[in-house]
Amino acid sequence: MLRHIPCIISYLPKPDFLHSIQIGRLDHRQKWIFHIMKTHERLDNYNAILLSVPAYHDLTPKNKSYEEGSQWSGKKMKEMSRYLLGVVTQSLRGGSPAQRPIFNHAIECTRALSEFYMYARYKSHDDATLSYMEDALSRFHTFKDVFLLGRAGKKAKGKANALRIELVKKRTVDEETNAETWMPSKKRREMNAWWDNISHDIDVSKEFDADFNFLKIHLMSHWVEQIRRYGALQQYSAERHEQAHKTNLKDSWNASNHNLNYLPQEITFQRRILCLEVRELNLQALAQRRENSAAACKVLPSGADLAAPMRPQSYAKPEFMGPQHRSEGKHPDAIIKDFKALLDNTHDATHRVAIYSRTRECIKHKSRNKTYISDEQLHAIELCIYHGIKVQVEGLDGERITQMCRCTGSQSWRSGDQRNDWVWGTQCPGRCYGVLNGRLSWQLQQLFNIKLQNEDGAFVEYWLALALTTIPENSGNLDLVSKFVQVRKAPAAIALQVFRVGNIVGCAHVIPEMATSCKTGDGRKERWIVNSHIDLATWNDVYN
Amino acid sequence: MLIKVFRQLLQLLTFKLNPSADSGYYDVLCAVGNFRRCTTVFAAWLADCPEYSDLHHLKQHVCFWCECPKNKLGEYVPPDKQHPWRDHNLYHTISDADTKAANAKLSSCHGH
Repeated sequence: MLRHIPCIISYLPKPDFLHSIQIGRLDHRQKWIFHIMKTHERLDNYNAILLSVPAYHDLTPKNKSYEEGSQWSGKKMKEMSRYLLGVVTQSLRGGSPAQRPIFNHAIECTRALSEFYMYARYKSHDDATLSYMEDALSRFHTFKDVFLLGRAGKKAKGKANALRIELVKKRTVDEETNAETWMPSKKRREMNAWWDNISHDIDVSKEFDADFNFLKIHLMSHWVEQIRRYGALQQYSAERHEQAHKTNLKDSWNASNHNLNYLPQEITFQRRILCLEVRELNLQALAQRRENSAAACKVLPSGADLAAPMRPQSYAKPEFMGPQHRSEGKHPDAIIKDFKALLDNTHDATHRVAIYSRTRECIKHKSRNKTYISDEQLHAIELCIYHGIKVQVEGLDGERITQMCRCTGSQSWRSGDQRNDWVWGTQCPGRCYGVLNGRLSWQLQQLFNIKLQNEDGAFVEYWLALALTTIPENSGNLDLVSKFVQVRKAPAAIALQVFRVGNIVGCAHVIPEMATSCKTGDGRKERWIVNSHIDLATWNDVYN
Repeated sequence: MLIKVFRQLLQLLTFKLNPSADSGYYDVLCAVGNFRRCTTVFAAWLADCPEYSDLHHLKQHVCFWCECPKNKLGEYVPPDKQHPWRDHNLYHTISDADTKAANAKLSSCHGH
């Protein structure tokens, strides 16, 4: 059809980010990982870790494992790609010496695909990022054979089944021939050897017949060239068009009377909206022109003002999100009025001791005169508990993003488990934790505000947070295979700390070592990996 | 009839746009008075690869940019060893010839 068009037809198709990566390739990767987990009996652990992935400011925890979900949309795939490598790394921890190389290759291959996807999402590129993309792609092709068994199709499985039947027949003949000569122990050994041999031969047969010859794998090799030719890939993604289905079709359908003449109504509806949008843009342009003409009449700044150094961008301090209205009957367990009431309502004894002692230390350290606060003074302090904090961070392109870190304490979040997010806490400037750049990921436990009266009678407000602290392993250096930093719980004496919320510089995301969700049973909450793939800004901060 | 109308429409569109042979870009006068560099994004609404194959007169599950053989789609292709790009004008000429040799040549390039 296109051959009759007078243009270069190869220029017309553009890489579709949504279908070829998010739905296409990421879906294949999920299936391969699922297969390898099943083969090595890690599926339970994998699902448990997947369900215990903590929330992030724009990521809600999952309540369904991969096989429980009936359909995975592009949005869900995109979300999952943000923590999948961490989950795979934690699931494939340990293993026998024979399994370890397979696990390492699986992690390397998953990492290569994740990195390729992360680089492909950049809004602007240079030679360095394109060379990183090429490098990630070549690493993927180096390690991809570890997932070859997961690529076995119907034909390969059929051939493997035929081979299995043949080998089982041979084994039966062998067993019958030597039935009289073999002792029971010898027979058991021989049978085990036969089963090992059969399973090995079946795997070899499947691997021999399986391949990666499908289009979506090949299309990745064109992407660097396409970026050089047409710019970043995000602009050609079909995601925008599919999102427009809602505004262009569904909204106008809902606004119509659903009768036979709905089409003219939809067109009229869209026309009205477009007219309003155009009018709004015109008004904005007029206002902008007026501002520009007014600015042109202003006196220009003197040379001294021009020579003054630019001040660094100042970001707003973290802002608390509304106090909890406990008196309205939602949470009848406590009405927090003062510090003693908070202590009495904190059920965990460790938390109670930590809040008490650490708050006193924090106030003493931060107060101007380093005054000691007596128990009576501390108990009478007016206190208010908050359930979240807004932090402004800088995105990859320098834009400001407001992140919301939630901290519900011991209360449930949206009829589910409690939600206590992880945050980045800045440390002393001299202490750098490898690639973490002097920051540590801590889990919020309580956010509260107290008012304290100074010796001169003035009230001073302290915005404080109680957090579970972690310390980095391996001096904060990256793991060689997964390229993640591992952290562990700080010693019990300093595990819970009270600090000023000004030290919070953004949301962090970690993947636990084992299951911690109440749905999946007990699990240790002592070691995590810092998930650098959660967004592009963290990826750039933590990875290198 | 419908195909004829569609072809004429596409010809009209692409003739007006006239993408440069080197870059694939063309200039469009914007309402604000500036020229914008644009490129045609074709088949942006198509969901998956079979539709691309139909539009390009290619067999199913082959690359629509290059002439990579089907049994080598899973192999790594370094940037300096890319397969040759598809020349649809050549395919058009071969297709019009309609000889046995031409059809064999077209089939080897996954066209039909």
